[in-house]
Amino acid sequence: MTQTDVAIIGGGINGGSTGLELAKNGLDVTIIDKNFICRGASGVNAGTLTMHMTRAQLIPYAKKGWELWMNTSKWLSNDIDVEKKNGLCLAFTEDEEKLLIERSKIRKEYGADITIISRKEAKRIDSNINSKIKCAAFCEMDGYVSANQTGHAYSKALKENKVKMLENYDVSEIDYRKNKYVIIFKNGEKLFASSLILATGVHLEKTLKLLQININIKCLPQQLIVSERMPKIMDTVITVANGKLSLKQFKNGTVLIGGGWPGKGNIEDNYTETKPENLIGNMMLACHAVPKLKSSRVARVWLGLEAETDDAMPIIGKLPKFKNAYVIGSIHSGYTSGPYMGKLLAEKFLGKDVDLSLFDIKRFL
Amino acid sequence: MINNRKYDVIVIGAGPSGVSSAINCAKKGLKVLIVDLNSNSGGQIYRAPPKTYKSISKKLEESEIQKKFSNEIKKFKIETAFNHTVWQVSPGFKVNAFNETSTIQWQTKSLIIATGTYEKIIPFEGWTTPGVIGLAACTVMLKAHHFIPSKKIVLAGNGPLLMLVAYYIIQFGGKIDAIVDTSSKIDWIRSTLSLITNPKNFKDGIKWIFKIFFNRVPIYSTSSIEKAVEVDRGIKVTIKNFMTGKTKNIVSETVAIGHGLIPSTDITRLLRAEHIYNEQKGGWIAKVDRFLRSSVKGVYLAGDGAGISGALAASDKGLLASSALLYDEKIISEKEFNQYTHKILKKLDKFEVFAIAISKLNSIPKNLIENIDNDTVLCRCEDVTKKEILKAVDQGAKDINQIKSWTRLGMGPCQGRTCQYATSKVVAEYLNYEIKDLGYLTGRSPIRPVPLDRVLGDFDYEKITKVEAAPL
Amino acid sequence: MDLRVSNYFNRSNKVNINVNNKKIEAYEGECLAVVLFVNNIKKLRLSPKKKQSRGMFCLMGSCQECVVVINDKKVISCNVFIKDGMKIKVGDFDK
Repeated sequence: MTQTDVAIIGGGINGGSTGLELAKNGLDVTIIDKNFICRGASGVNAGTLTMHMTRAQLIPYAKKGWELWMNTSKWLSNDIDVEKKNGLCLAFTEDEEKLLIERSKIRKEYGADITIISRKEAKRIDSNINSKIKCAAFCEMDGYVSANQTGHAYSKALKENKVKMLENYDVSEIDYRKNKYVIIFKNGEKLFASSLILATGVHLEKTLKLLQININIKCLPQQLIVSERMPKIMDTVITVANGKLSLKQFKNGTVLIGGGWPGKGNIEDNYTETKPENLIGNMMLACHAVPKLKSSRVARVWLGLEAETDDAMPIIGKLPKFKNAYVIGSIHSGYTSGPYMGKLLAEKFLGKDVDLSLFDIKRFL
Repeated sequence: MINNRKYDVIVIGAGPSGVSSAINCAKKGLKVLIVDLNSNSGGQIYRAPPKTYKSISKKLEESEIQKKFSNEIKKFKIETAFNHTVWQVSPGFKVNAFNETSTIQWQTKSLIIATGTYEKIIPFEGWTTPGVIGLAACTVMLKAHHFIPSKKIVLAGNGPLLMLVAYYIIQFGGKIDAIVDTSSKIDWIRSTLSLITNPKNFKDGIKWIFKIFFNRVPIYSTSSIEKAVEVDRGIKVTIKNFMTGKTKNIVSETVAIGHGLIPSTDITRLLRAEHIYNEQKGGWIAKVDRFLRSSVKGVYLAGDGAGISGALAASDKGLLASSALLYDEKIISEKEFNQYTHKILKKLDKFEVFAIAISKLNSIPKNLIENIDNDTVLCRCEDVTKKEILKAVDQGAKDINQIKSWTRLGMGPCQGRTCQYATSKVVAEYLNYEIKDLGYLTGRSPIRPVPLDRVLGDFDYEKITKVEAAPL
Repeated sequence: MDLRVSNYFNRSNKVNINVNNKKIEAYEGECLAVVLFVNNIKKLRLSPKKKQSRGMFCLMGSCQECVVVINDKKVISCNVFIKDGMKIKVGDFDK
């Protein structure tokens, strides 16, 4: 039987960032994952670091998260490709133009440095975009992470900071006795923990149930499409007014098309299935935004399961009625702000004065 | 773009097993479509020459068999979609394919997967040099396209294909500089003896060996190619005998190498069917019951896809899989099914003896894996070396999918078909693991790179399905 | 030496194709990957990191190594059949 100060269930970016920060503050941390570190939504993500797709209220957090991503060598690892790029959000019709102006204005009110620019100005920033745009929203604070490298980077950093990792450990029960947690695994092993942090992404609904907390977490099966390597065809991160496309070219020449064109998936057995009609829609939208993309070949398509609460806002903070139990998850467009949210939760855990009232789980109970 | 034509059965792959299963279903009145990447039926083994070739008096046995396939497909009114590359198969079942100009989707109740195999090639230093090709590629070049690859050639690897290719090259007027075989002469005698049960193969084998013997082709047994380098007049090959350690350099024009066959599991992995590891049957294979039903209802495996048994068994495996389908769909009675499959299973048992003998000749000696130099590229698409793989393993990558996301191995256009087998061997050897513990690459669509212009065609922005705006 | 084997089949019409602006003779309908290979045009693409030349390898549509550019489109040449006047780019076509 093993013991730990803090048990974190879920080894994605949320759990990993929280664990890393706690370990750096001298705590004995164990991260548990039913698969491998960052192999769920964190590892298959589009990795876009943008304000254009962030919910307005989350902009201040996304900005801090963005800064963290741009300085990964300081807190995570040197082994991860993060690029700063200009971000262009495009509007192709009059309706979209209206939507873009309205949404950008609100995001700006929350602190995003977004400006509306003309077609001509947008073309000057990236000549590869479709000339038929009505206007664009521009933000310098944009970029991307190569999500497939997060598993490697987080594993390495966690190991260096002496975080114990229990990979391929599936939790079947959590016993709460005398202010202590006994985590029981499917393989029969047990782990004793003084504190508990739940960070199981799309599985949060099920994990919270283990503590008799019932809330809804929706599962959004997002489809991602990547092209084979090709010569440079674009130089910005492209999004669209309704927030349902993210498009960028990595340093290695591959172009990644992400966005909210769902496939099929269920949480129970992690099953995912592409929906060809939605794939094709998403490909069309991407090729419409950057016409040169049409000469490429699709190398691979995959899905990631995104978690969303009923109000599409995160749940971060203490779990009521439990001592030393916390939750973090459902951070909308969470890649950008994830590391910062993890850091905030760690600070809260350590007793610092952090306001997480916006993300309190109580609103669903 | 989306054609909703519905079929009772879609057969993917028009080799001998695909054709026999399609005919079996069509005979019972089912609406059958057979799809293949090539421009005609026959698969790789009886691959038809290009359509522009005109046959002259001398008949090739393979071409005659292929012609029979074409005639029967016509006779039983089986619909065909040649020159179509399947890129996605989803449950239910929807099959997506593209041809030279566009993409198409068909629907079907049942699916017979007869996609055969691709070649197993263990890397060595310089195996990426242009002019180093697969032995199977060499066979296709000789028997389907009617070319010899170059005036001079070195053949390497193991198994019967080595002798078959040598035979055809000599027959067609080429010169073989060397045959480099990982097996010993004793391995050959043992295997050849066990082939006596199969007169046709035995006769062929003897024919090949005599030809090679009389042409005094230098044969290097228990040897492998250590290195290949591009030089002025072609490729300089270093041959190493791993029993004696002796090396020899030869300059030739082409190197053809192959170590047996790997069952194609692209589609069954995509459908999340269960797979098992069986070295003797070619590596990872879809798990099937005696009648070749996969773990996914309505999906059947014909031919070598669920384990290598060779070309002669292929059409019987097609009959077996399609009989299971006909029985499951209540088209034939249990009695009919039992009578029919009893006979086939008995016949297939005989072929199994032969398949085991071949798989012994194609076994991968340990030193072939150990001898791979650290700087050798394992993943050709993404240029990932053995050193980089082992570094990821040292840093904690524990299964093949983790190795994939940490190193990009298998992320290129071939989707890991060329590198998965050898990489798994290398890592298993290094960690002293079983290959089954490393798992297999998760099946991802598209199983072949899809040209975007063909999938999308010309479209108007207004016609793109709009999705609901994200919450602000 | 012509590497064509003519024991069993006659080829169709002789045609010309253009590979990196060089004229190559071939017969209509022959497989492009094979025609390039026997004409000693073996370096078809550059590998992404090491920038090594790569060429035809499996000849059955699996490995994707024999990719060339025809009409600005990437295609695997083992699945292309010669037509008169075909214009093909090989080598470092990503530049």
